[in-house]
Amino acid sequence: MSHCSPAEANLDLNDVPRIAMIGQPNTGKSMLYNRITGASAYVGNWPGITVSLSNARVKLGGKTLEFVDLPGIYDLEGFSEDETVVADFLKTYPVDLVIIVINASQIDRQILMPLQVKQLGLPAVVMLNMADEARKNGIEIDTEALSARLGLPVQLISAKYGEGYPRAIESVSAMLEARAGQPPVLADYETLRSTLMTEETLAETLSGAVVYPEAPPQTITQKLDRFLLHPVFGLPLFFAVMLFVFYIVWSIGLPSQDWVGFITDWIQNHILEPVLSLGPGWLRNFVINGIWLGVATVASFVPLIMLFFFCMAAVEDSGYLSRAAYLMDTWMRRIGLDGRSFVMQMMGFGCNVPALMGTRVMRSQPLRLLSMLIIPFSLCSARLAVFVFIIAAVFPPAQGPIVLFSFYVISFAAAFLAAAIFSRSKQFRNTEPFVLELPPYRVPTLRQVWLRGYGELREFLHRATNFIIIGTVAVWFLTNFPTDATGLDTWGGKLGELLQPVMAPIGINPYLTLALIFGFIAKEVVIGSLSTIYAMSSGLVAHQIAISVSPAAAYSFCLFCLLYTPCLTTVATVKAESRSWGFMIFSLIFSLLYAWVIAFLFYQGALLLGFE
Amino acid sequence: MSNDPTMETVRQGRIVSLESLQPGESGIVEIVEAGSFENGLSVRLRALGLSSPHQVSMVRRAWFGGPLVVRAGKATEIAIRRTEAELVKVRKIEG
Repeated sequence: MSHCSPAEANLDLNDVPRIAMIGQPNTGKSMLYNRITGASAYVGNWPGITVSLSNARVKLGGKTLEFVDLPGIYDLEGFSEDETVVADFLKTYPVDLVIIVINASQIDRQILMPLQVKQLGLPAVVMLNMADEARKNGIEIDTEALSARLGLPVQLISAKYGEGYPRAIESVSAMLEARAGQPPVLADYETLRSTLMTEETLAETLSGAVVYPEAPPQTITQKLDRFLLHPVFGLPLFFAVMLFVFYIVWSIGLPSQDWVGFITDWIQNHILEPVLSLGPGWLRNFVINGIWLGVATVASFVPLIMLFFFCMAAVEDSGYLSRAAYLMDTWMRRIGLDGRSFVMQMMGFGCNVPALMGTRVMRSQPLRLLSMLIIPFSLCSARLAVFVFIIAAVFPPAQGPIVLFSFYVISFAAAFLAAAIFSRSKQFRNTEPFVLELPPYRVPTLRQVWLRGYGELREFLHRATNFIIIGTVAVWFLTNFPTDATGLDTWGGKLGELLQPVMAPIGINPYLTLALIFGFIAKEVVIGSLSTIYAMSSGLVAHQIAISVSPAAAYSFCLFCLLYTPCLTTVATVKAESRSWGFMIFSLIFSLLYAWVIAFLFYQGALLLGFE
Repeated sequence: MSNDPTMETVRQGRIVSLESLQPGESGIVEIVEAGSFENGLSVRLRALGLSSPHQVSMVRRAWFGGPLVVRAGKATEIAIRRTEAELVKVRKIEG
């Protein structure tokens, strides 16, 4: 797979011409990048750069070119993490061309970037994107005059609809052609710093080349915002929209896990079993219960993750997500977070992994880490499956929904409590001003939504496969050795008994302890592993739990399951996104302790109150 | 401080904080104070088109102390917290 290409591959000093794409956020830069590179993009780790950058090799006009999508930045000299990343990249990796993407309707303020890039001494092409929007706003742009002023080629395009795209690509090829034989260039930040750019510089560049209408036309965005940002109805409307997204993911995504399960079962029954029956029994056992179980678990996630990202990409591209952050900020700032953290917390209900990845929109690292610390407390769909199983076994049917709802409430409360506590410490104090651009509403295109969903899925698979397969192999070992042992006599069972001094005070027996250990791999494994641990079919396990586990103990088990270490994939994501082993280990240990303390308080409290 | 012409105008009431504008009112940005953000706030706002001497207008004020929505220049709408808007001083446009 292309994204597995070793990091060293990037160290070669431009074996093919390298083209970096820069621009402000919300200019459609990544949309243009996606249009150029299609599905060939992958995430490359660039040595010396703190975040992974997306890059792709594409054939244009018979030549292979390398495109790099740099993070969206507001200012080349800015101080945010993304801005440092761009500066570091341009100082470390020589480029043959820079494509500067500009939102054509905001050309008056974004024209600063091409002027800065010129001062950096980099060869560049300017793409005035969102030509359709600029037209709608009545802005007239004379690209030739502008090009003459800047001394750079200027193209008017719409990356979304492909307008002007072929001509723009031609100008990229032409620029490279003209530069043929010249070595790639490193950015010269010294010259940029010594150059003073004033308001007059910007005004001079634009005067005559760009004409604004006297009175900007009333836009649909303004009309929509009157309802969607309403001081009273705005928030309920937002919750209704999110509920609708969850409903879609729920009603299509969850059944789709069964379809995938059906396919993987078929492969197991009709291909793997017959082939493996030729070999020894232990090999068959290992491949089926050790490896294949892991593969099937990952596969069952594929439609859910994909659907979730399709929906989130559509919501995000429409411009609504930044408005949701605006609506929630009133409440979130009180616990040291901001509106965007809440949006991610909501996303976590589908799956913690994409929510963690979504924190990339935050520029303040302390804020981002704090958000990453609390997102794993979101009650994800895998935990939901565990809860439904336990609740159905132990509680009377009439109480079921109330018990389940209580876990959702606790999920939010636990996250907010943790945020409120940690935001007081220096490491997590938000240093970022809350200033958020509210882009106009836009209709997301299918193509863009597809490319986004597909890209995120590939990244998820890359991360998930290794972890989950290693995990299921470990489960297999623990429950199959010593040979012929079952239940508590296996190594795993002994481990469960060993942990009783810790787990008994929170009402969790050795069998359930072992299930929790396996739940560390993926919460989906919990229910399946119970059958292996009790050595019974799942129907009998439910019965066994009903007679041997009290409601208080069952609730304590669910509480622990909700708050303790999330699945391995989430842990891997925390590691990848924070780029810190220390933070990952901290978040692991913190959530374990947190879960234990809450479960202890609950269980001992319940015992004191006379519940059994 | 008494010789500072900006502060003098502040006292005379012509220069107010962006936070104090009512929806529909606008002003010309005079200065963005650093507050606890050092350069962070002014650099970010400048990139969004909210810097001296550009026009900014109040679009809506959320309830319960929530963020404000202001329009910078021609087309950019920005959500900004009240504490941050407090740091932006504008010369109010009358009428």
